[in-house]
Amino acid sequence: MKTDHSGRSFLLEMIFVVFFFSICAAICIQVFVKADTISKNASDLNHAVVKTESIADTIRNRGADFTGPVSWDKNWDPASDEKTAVFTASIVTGMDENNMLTADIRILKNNRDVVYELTTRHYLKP
Amino acid sequence: MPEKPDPVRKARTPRNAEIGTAFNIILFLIFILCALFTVLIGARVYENIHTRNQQNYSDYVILHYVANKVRQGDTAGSITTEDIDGIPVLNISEKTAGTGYVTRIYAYEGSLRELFMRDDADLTLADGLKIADCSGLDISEEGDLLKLGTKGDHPRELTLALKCGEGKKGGTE
Repeated sequence: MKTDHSGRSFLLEMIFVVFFFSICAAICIQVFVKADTISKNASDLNHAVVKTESIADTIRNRGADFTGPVSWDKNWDPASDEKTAVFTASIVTGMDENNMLTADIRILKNNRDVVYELTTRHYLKP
Repeated sequence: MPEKPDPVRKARTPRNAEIGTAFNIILFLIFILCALFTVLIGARVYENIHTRNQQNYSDYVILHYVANKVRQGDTAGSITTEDIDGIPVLNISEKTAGTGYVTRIYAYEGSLRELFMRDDADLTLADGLKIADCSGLDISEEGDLLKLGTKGDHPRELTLALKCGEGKKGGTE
C-alpha cells in the first residue's frame, strides 16, 4: 500500500515538474533563438556597413560608374553567381542641376530585407 | 462497519504497479534528457555567438584601425604606399615644428605593426610595435582610392577615398 502511495505522488510530482519544465524550456529556447538571430543580424550589419562605406567612397572618388562586387554569399565573400548570392547591393545614382552627385546605396538580404542603407552626396566641380 | 473496498486499489495488481513504476522512471528519464538538451542547445547558441563575434572582430578590427589612422592623417600628400622587402607599407607623414615624422603601418611576422619615427630615422620593419594579430595586409593605391585587404580564410576589403586628393574635384557631404 505504501509503495502505491509513494509511486502515485512521485508520478504527480513528476508531471508537475515536467509541465513547469516544459514551459521554462520553451521560454529559454525562444530566448536562445532570439539571441542567435540578433547576433546574426549584428554580424550582417557590421559587414554591410563596411561594404557600403567602400562603395560610397568609390562612387565619391570615381563618380557614378561603380565597378566592383555587388553581391556576396552567406559568408560575405564575393558571390560567384546569382545562385550563391545572398546579399546584394542596390545602387541608385543621380546628378542634379548643381552638379551634386547623389548615390543611394542599399544592401539587401535575399533581395528583400534591407540590411543597411546609406545616401552619399558629392559635389563635382563643373 | 466493514470497510468499503476502493475500486482503484482493488484494480492495482502487482503488474500494474510495475507499469506505474516503469512509467515514472521513463518520465523521469525524459525530463533528464529534455533538461540536458536544453542546456546543450544553450551552450551551442552561446558558442555560435562567441565564434561569430570573434570572427567579426578578427575580420574588421585591423581594417577599421588602419582606416581610422588614414582618416586622422589624411592631409595633402601625406598618405603614400610603398613596398619594403616585399611587404606593403602604408606611410602617413606629418610635420611637427619643422621636423618630418612618418607613421608606418604594415603586417609583419603575423601581426599588424605600427612604427612612428622621424622620416630620416634608420629603423627597420622589425622595430614596429605590435598592434594586433594579422595574417597579412594588402595595401594598394588606385588614384585617390586606397584599398586595404586582410588575408586569411575570409579575406575582407575596405576601400577609402583619400580626401587629400579631393581638392581638384570638389567637396563631399
